[in-house]
Amino acid sequence: MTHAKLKALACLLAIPLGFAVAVWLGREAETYAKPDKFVRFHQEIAPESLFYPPFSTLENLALARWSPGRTLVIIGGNSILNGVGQSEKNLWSRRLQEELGEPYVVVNLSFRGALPCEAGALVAESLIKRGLPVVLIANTAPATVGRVAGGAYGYLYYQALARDRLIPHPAREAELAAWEATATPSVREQQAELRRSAAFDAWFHCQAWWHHVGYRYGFGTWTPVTRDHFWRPRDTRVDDSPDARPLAERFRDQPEAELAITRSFSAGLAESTGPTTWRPYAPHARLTGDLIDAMFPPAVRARTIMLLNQNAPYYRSRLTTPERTRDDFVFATYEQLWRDRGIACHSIGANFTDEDYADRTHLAPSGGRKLAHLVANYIRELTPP
Amino acid sequence: MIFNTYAFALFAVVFFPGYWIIRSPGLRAWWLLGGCVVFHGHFAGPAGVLPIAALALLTYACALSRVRGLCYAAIAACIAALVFYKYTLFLSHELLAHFAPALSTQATTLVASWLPGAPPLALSFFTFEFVHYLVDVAAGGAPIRSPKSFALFAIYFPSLVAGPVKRYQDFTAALPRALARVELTAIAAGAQRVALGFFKKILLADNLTVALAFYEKDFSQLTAPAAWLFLAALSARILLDFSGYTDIALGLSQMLGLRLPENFNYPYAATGLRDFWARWHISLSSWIRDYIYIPLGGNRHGPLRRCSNLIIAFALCGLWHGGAGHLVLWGLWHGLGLVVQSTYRQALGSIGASLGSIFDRYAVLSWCLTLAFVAFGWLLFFYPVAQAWSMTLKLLSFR
Repeated sequence: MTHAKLKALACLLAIPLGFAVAVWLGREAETYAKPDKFVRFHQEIAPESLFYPPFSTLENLALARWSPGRTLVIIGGNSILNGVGQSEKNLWSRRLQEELGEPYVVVNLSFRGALPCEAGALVAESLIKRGLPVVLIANTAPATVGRVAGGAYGYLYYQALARDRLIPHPAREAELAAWEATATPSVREQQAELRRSAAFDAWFHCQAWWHHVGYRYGFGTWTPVTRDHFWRPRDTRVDDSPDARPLAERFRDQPEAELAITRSFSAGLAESTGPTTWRPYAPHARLTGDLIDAMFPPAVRARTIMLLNQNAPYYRSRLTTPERTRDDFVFATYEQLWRDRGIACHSIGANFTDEDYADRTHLAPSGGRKLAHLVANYIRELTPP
Repeated sequence: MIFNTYAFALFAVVFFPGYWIIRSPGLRAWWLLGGCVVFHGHFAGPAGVLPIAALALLTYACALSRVRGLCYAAIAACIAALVFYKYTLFLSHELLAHFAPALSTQATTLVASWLPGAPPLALSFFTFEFVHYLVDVAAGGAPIRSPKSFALFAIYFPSLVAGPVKRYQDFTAALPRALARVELTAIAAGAQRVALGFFKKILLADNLTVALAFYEKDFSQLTAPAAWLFLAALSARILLDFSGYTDIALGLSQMLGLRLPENFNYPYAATGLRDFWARWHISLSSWIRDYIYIPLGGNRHGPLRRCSNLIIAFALCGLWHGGAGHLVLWGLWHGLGLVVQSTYRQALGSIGASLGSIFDRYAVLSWCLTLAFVAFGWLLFFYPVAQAWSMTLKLLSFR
């Protein structure tokens, strides 16, 4: 064999060998990889900065803190529960852990913009399937359920599914199939590609290894969030999200637009039957109910506390009387709708003050403390220690 | 890009080992054709495959007849398909709007209801290859007799999506050798080239794409050095993106034992525009030379005709990149640049001659000028005319 052929052979053998080593490292990383001193998914360890923590990382974060005899409180939901408006030190989920004490262990797996059925909800489902004592806390607007696939965090669903982590729930699969059937060809291809990626990853563990390398050794993708240091390992990045601005400086960003959002918040969800009397808009209520049924398996519903977030009183106080009564009606109606589906549901923020809000939706540290106190009580009601 | 999808990874994992294991050239050809059909079918979808299949059948049959009139009719059909799918909206929305806005609105609505969401995958490349084939056969070249060989030429998957634009004489000559034997060294060299392509495309070009999109929004606020850095990054990005893609295509083909034509040869080292077009997207520029510029008369009918031929050829080159006014202007920018380069020595008399000798003596000056010309051209390539103009003013203000 000539030298050139030997070189070629060595190169070709190195490719599968290198791949096999990477697969082995990925398989190992899947069992231990997780962010250090984790408090929440801040922007530099979240999809906003193209860092897509794999499902195994989320599971590792929950399992690393749990020990037998304790109840695992998993926080899902969106930026409100992620604690935008609160620094890491003043984060509401820290307060929640303090309120609940030793019998419970709180893990905040919420992401900005996540739906109540995404991310943390899937980890809760996976651990419920494994028989762990879990409570899921999630939040949303009254009629927003969404679908577990199709959004920025949809990859977690496909990863969990490919690893057989989810409770069999045919209604969810049927709903997603029906949604995909009406989607554009490019959306269908995106979903198919995500499914292939998850199936491939279940065999080859690339995501765990890649994110472990990105977290520990260096990242290769430029993003606006990390523009000055995109190559640095993400473990060098700290959660420096600030607390809410002083009260006098809040509610100044686009107040008209925010007020318009507040006005339209419940507009499509109720029909007027008199000057201040309302009835639910039936098609939307039906759709919400159907989506709750489809996205939350019964075993998860029984362990879930859903929080419906009110807008800040600064904006609510500017609503007309009919608008306010409509808001109150919608919150009460949809609270009941979630409860009718077997999910403990509570509206949050009705008695909060302007001081408690960082902006129209997010909570300031004082609001976070109130939230923690309320949620601690709801958890104790659902699962006494 | 198709080559970094999981669908392609799955395809490659099955297809390549099969191709290498099969020893019989006949069976290997069928396996290759099967792979190409699966690739085209999956990534183009039925709406993308059907028009190409129809054009391919027409092209094959007309070329096989060797009747010149039929070949020209097939050329017209290929060009009509390209215009229909890629330029009808441009013609109705951008061009007609200048003359008859009301009619333009009606025509655009009508056209939008006819057209699919996107034109068939790689339609421009198919058209160029079919036209080349038909022109050469009409001029007396031997047509491809075997339907299997023609199908392989038409939908050869490594070059299907974005070239290089193949020539059928080279392809049909190289194919039997590739099917007969694939050298281990070729597979290794191809794999290395694929890796280089992914590095250029994913790690460098894609990062630059995101960064450029971010800084473009506040371009007017950038400092002068940052704005010039933006221009440099824009120029680097298109080279890395396209040459990275080409490296992957060429590498994959090399792994099948077949070498495709090179498309890039250090284009930013060019010391003149003619030199640049001999190094940039070579398969396209040589196609434009052979099938547009020379048939128009090339440089055979005096300087005025040569200049107009250059401008027409490059305007069409711009249009080939997409149906948009700024792309046509980008083509004109290069066409005019080539006209200036080829005429200034005579046109400016003694000043032109002196300038020419300075550029000849100091190649670095020619290089800088060429690079700057090309880089400013990229602004027109990527952005609408008004935005490209304001970016140019900002850059030239040095503030």
